[in-house]
Amino acid sequence: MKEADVRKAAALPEGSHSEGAMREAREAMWLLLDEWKAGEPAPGFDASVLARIRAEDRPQGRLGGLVAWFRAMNAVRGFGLAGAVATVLFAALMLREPATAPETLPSQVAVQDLSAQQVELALEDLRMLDELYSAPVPEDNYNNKKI
Amino acid sequence: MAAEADSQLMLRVKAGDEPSFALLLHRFRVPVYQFLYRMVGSPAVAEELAQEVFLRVYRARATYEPSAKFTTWLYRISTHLALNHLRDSRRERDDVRLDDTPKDGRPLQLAAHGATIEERLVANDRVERIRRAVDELPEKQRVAVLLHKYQELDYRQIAELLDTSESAVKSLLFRAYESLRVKLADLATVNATKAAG
Repeated sequence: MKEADVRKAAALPEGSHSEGAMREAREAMWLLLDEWKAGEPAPGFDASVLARIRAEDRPQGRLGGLVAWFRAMNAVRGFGLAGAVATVLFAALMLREPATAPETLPSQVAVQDLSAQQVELALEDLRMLDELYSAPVPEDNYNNKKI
Repeated sequence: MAAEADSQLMLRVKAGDEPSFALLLHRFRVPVYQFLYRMVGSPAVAEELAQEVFLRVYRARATYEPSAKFTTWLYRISTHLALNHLRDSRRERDDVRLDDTPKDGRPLQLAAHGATIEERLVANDRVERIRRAVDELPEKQRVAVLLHKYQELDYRQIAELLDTSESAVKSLLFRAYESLRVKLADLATVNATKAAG
């Protein structure tokens, strides 16, 4: 089958050679190529590949899991560069240490300011009510008032 | 039939069956290693690349679709890795000499086992000339020859793997074999004479 293939592939007439001689030369070349042997991989080859696969499959913490997920996504067609960049940005956000809290939280300061203002307003309202009640009330008004 | 079985095995790997992967690994480790060895010329590099090929097959298991022959897919990955390696390393291949000890301590791949020293020297010289002749072919021709002659892929598979047409592969192989025939004409003549005698 293979030799038939090569004869077909190489079947081209050349002026100075007869077809028979060309065929013989090609067959000789074909057999000559068989002399180039390539041996076999080392005996531990299979075990080494399987060990590497198991090492990759083993969960390796948060970062390892992320890498494994990225690899899986990378194998999906169309995931592309945009997906890769988004993944890296997301990973950077997830892995970033939380910022150290300041001694006085700004929100607490705001709450304190708000309370002081409210107290001041309340005091001002009371002062206004005192003035209102302490003022002399006209009698007509008092008598006409329906309770 | 065998190709169907390979695809079936790969589908089982896709479903999470590791023993099926071990079976595929065992089935294809030698041909993949031999292809890579002939591509890169170093047993150690070929072995490292072959490991990477199988790792990539395993990693890509989720996306595997049996639309093409498993071997076509496997050799596509192998070819891609080998060419990348060759481009990266700019062919920093050690010039193997007869008295060199291989870096990994394994014997040279000689054609004549159990022959006299002189016969072994001659045989090794012949193998070296064949290797160089194939190595000097343009990249696509070399890949096509290795896949056709040594890995026994058919025209359609090679065409699919090289993203070209079957007729382009036939033309590629014709030019490659003609080039080899001319370069190795003297060796082939000796070969033919020996065979006749």
